Order: sequence, then C-alpha cells, then structure tokens
Amino acid sequence: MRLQRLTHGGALSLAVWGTAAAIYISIGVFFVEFVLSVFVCAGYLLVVVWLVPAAIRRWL
Amino acid sequence: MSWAAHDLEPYAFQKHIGIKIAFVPLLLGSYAPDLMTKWFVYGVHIFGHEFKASDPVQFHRGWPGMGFTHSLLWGIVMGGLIWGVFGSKLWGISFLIGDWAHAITDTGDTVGTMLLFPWTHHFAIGAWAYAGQTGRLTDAAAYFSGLGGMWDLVWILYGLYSWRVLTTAHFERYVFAADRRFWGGLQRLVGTTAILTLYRAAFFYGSCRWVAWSLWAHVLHHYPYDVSWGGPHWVQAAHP
Repeated sequence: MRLQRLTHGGALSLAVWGTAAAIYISIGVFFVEFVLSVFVCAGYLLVVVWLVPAAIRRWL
Repeated sequence: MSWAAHDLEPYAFQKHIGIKIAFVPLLLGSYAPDLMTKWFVYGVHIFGHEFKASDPVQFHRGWPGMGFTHSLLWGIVMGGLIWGVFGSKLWGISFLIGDWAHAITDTGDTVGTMLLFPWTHHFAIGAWAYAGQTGRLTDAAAYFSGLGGMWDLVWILYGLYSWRVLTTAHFERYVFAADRRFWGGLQRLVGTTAILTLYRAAFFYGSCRWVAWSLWAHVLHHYPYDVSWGGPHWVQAAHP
C-alpha cells in the first residue's frame, strides 16, 4: 500500500470535517432528535463545513 | 430494520458495481422504503394528537400494510416511474439498485421483508431483533446493542478503508462524471464545495449517528450489549 503525504489543504479539510463530526456527535448524544434526519445533517454540514469557513476566509 | 447501513451502502455500490450509476437516485432508493412509513411506525405528535400505526410491525413490513415498499417489485415500479417521468434510464436503474439494497438489507432482522411480493412470505435471516414497535428510543437502544449495530459498523469500517470514495478526485472522476446534468446544475447554483459537502453528507450522517447512538445507549443509559443471534434478547423482538 502506498501512503500519500497529507497536503496543507487536505489537513485543513480533515480538521474541519473532524471538528464538525465531534460537534455533531456531542450534540447527538444529549439531544438524540438532532441525529434522526439526514436532511438536518445535510443542513448542519452546509453551515459548518461550507458557510462558516467561507465567512471566516472572507473576514480574514 | 437498519439504521446506518442505508446511508453507507450507496458509497460502496457506486464504487464496485461496475456499471454507470448516478449517486443521488441510488441514495434516494436506499432511503425510499422507509421514507413513507417510518414516521408512522414510531408515531408523531401534531397539535396534541398522536398519529401512530395500531400495529407498527404489520404496517411497516406486512400485508395488508405498507410492507410492499420493501419488495423487489416496488423497486421496479418506482424505478420505472422515475425512468418514465424524468426520461432518465440512469436515474431509474440507480434508484432500483438502492431500493433493492434496502429491501435485502432489512431481511437481516427478525421480521424480514416480503421480497417477492405479491407473495407475502417474509424472508428473514433473523440476525438482529426488530423492535420498531417499542418506539424509537428503545428500538435504537436495541439495534445498537445487537448484531444490527455491528452490521452497520462493518459498513463504516469498510467506508473508512475505502476513504478515497470521499475525496474530491473520486467525486469528480466517477460521481460527477456519471451524472453531469444534476451535479453540473447544482454546481452552477451553489459551487463546488457545497456539492462536495452534500455528496459526503450521507456517509457523515451514517457514521456519526452510529457513534452518537452507541454512546447514548451504552455510556449514557447503560443498555447491555447482546450480539447473540436474534438479539438483544432483553427486548421483545417482533416476528412476522
């Protein structure tokens, strides 16, 4: 198996998705209704993985 | 009844099935059998009224009932309708594959599915307890304590092993290329990052909710694991 070196962009993307997963799971454990719908999940991801990073990039 | 397998299977099928498949109808097909029924199995409260099937098992998997939605014939009918209405053979066949995957996966529990409807025989492997009639929370606790949860874990681990299906390169080369009309139109509306996020959403949802429900069941509430065949046996399993 050939391992590839993780690029800066790839590491950043992995960090964003990892953070999104940690937050989603933490909310879901205590408010299980939150993890009952794939549509809610898609909306959550669009905010956390797409809109928030885009807003931060624009702001910086 | 399966929880996360229906979210994760489409990624493996898209990669391995060997024919051109559109991801979105594949995923919709994977969800379709439960879309119209699951809410009524568990029940919902609207303006102080509860709407719930009097016999959730019969309604979900039986006949008379909506059990025909978990049959091979239903996949053919819906896939044919999609082919006719949208004029896309690709979408029709992709939906059919997703729908059949759902119907076959659900034979794993103790109720099983009427795969060959109108023949009303239930094909049931009986590996894990069907507990939908107990309500959503007990059903979740039971599912994530038995072989059903382990079956989901197999798909999660396989997905992590095949992590390249989640990369931008795989998406552009196989998923986008197979269905340019849909993804291209969406890309013009919201951009590349958003469509990639939507593509990965079902995998994220299936994996993360598996972890969340497992923590909820075993760390927060201490439901016991029982991965014996047909378990967990601390819940009353339904049969056809």
